[in-house]
Amino acid sequence: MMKKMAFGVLAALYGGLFESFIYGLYGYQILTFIFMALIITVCADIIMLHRYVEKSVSKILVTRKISREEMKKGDKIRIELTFTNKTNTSMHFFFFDFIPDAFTISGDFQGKINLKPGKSVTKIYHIVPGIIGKYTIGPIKIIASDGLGLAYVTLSVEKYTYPKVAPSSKDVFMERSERMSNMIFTMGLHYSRKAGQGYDFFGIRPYTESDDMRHLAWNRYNLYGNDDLFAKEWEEDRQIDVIFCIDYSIGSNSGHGVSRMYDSMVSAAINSAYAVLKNADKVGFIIYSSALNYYIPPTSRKDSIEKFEKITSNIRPEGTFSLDKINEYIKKCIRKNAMVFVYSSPSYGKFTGHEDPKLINTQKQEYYYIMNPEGFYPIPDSESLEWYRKGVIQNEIMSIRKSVYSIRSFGVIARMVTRNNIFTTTMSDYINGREGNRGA
Amino acid sequence: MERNDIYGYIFNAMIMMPPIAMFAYAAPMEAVYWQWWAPAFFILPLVKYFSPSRVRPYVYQISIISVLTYMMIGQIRVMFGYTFFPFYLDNFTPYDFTLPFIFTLGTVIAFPVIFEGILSKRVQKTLAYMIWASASTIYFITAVAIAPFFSSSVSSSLTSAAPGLPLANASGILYAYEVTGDLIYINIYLLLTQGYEFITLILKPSSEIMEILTISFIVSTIGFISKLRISNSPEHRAPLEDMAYPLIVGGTGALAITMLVNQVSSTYYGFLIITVVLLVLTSYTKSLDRKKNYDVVIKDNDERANT
Repeated sequence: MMKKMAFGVLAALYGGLFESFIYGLYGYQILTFIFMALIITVCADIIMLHRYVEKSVSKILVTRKISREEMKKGDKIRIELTFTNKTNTSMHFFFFDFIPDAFTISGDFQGKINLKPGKSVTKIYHIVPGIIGKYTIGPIKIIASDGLGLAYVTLSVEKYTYPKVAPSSKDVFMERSERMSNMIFTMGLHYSRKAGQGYDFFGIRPYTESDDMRHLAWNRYNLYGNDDLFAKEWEEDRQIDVIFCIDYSIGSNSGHGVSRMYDSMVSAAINSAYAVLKNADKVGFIIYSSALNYYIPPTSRKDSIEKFEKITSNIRPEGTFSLDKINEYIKKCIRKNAMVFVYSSPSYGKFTGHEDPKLINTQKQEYYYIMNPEGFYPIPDSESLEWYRKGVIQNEIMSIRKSVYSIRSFGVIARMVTRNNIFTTTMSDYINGREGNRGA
Repeated sequence: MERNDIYGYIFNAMIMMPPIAMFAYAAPMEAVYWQWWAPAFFILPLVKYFSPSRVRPYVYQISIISVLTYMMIGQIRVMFGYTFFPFYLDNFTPYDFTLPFIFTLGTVIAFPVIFEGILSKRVQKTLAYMIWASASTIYFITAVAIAPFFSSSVSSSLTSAAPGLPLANASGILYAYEVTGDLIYINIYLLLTQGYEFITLILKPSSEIMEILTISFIVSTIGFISKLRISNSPEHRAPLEDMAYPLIVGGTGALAITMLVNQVSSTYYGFLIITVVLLVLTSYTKSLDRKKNYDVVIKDNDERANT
């Protein structure tokens, strides 16, 4: 492909040739010679690039070796690129490996290579993933230029690597944390009990004929002097199901670099899930968008969280999302009562008024969270753009608040959460719900 | 200023060497006939580069507009008579387009063009400035070459034959300068319509200027190639050996064509050059065939092993 400079140079040279053509009449053949020589030189240079250099560079062998494809956020992964020249000519080119911006890169992922015949060169670079999901590394672009630097050819090595990034141990701190602060969340919260058969004493009541003789409260016999019988009542513990539902639409991909909305939502869901699991409740997950539907049934063990981590490291947000669609899906998947936390993005999660009113309330204990976009937009350098950014976010926040009030009017608990308080809000709502025996 | 910038200015000066050499050669001869406002053209580039950066891009535009306005008002005044306009226009001298005016404008313009060419960042711009400045300077040198045919006696006889012509004060060189322009237009017209040239290669400039031209163009070519190299970043710069082939092809090809041109009659001169240019262009555009270039995909190692 010719650069703009080449067009400019050729245009100027043809102008010069035309000039020499006029003045050449008076004996200035030197002008004609110079301009003809320059034109032929430039053209020969570009012709040679396309005829020979491109062909020889296209015969290069390229391999990419990655130390491992499955990784956690923050791991430093080594990648090796090897270029081998199997031809008889020397090659000079510039290479560039396409890496998503979810990775921090250090080392030679791009550069200039001079390859002698039969030799090979290995370039090493390291990537540090910053967001969860499945990514594609590649293709490798090779750019060869001509001698005069007027044109270049771009060749693509269609070799791809698919790294899968799972949340880091730093993100899922609730898994291993045994600090008092975490105990505070869940200590003594077993309030979801049901009177009937159980192990915990609930109270006494007058004996009826259907009662088991074993539960008679003999120490209350003849309490009022008329041979009254009393029976002991017991209560049993019941686990509740807590479902975390994540909006995995393209709107959750908001953010820049290594700061993405879906990443914050997934981290908060995993941490909350571990806390809930410690409280001996069951945890399940839903990942939902118009393109992705995953339901992980609630279990009282870690395997549901591990499955959730595995799925989120294999997908990236795509498709759309809406309040009624997700509620329809929740109704379809969860038959009995449950505590449902829905994390949605402001792009699709807002109340639009077009939703089916019957589907807004699922008749379950649902908490509907809409993420505040603050913190996901890059901070610009210029002051005027910063004011613009603030204005945009302020508008968005106002619109989210309006949605929150509208959703609340349907009897659903709705809140606007930020990336910093999504976890603590989830936990306080969970504690509150537990105390109120909701979701049982 | 970065090191690369300094090299850039040096190479620009090398590219601009032919007009610089010719201007240095011609300026003492031209200066005699320049009008009083000619030094303004020497100051203008300096005004541009020492003016605030916000005004800088508009200096030339403002100068051109003010000159044109001045000329227009003067011309209107001439057209409508001196009494037609109110007194406050008396300060505008009516300007008629005499030969000295055109001569001054045409020759002194080379200086700001050379100046801009040396300071421009892009090689194509420098090249365009070089061609423009060369046109202006060679024009004058050609006029010098044909001046002996237009002595003052000839011009005065022409003036007496046509009293309305503003040639009363024109010397031989000035008149030759005007006639050169006319001859160029006639040549182009005849070449396009009749297929032959009006003037043959009988007019040779002095050997002195030919030597200057030859040396300065060689310097210019070296400067052009060097400038092309440094205009790419070091990462994208191809090694020097890649330049050998195009340079050899360009040099030998142009030499062969020039030798051939000297052998043929001047009637076929233009025809031959156009044929060569078209041949070069055809082979060049053929190599730019997009399908070929963009569909090349380097195979993986595994695929290559199987095939």
